[in-house]
Amino acid sequence: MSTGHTPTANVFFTMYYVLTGIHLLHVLIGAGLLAIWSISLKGRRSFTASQRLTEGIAVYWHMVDLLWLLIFPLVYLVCAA
Amino acid sequence: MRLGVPARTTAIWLILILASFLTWWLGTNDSRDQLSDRVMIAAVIVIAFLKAYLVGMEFMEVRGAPTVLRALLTGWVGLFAVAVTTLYLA
Repeated sequence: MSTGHTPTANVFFTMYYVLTGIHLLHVLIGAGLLAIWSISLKGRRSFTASQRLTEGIAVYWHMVDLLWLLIFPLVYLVCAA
Repeated sequence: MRLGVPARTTAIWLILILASFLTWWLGTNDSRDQLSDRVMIAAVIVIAFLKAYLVGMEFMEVRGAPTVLRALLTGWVGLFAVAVTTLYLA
């Protein structure tokens, strides 16, 4: 950023910061969900009771991964070429 | 302890890793020929969407989901793969 790669520098960097920023938000949500899951494990509930939450969080994290698989090539490989 | 990870899932994970190396090579390789550079970058886009499809099908378990969800994932990946590739080549 100190070399001028700021969100307002040009259209590429505006899109870059919006895309990666929204992705960071998703990562933070995922981390928060994992924290909730970790706390819920201390409740000594059976696995069956927390199975939906556990699997839901896992699927959410895979979605975040899926999005990064598309964002990374688009902003780091395609635009750089 | 033997973890219950199906061989199929492990195989797809390996395919995804190999695809990552391939797209990295395609994306950073400079052939000094503009036409083949464009074709290689178009390949990067298509491979990225195929990877997203595999993650959705296998790791988000859409493969075993109701038909409507499978159709939505397939349609979404197909539509945006064609749209992004077309916009890049246009």
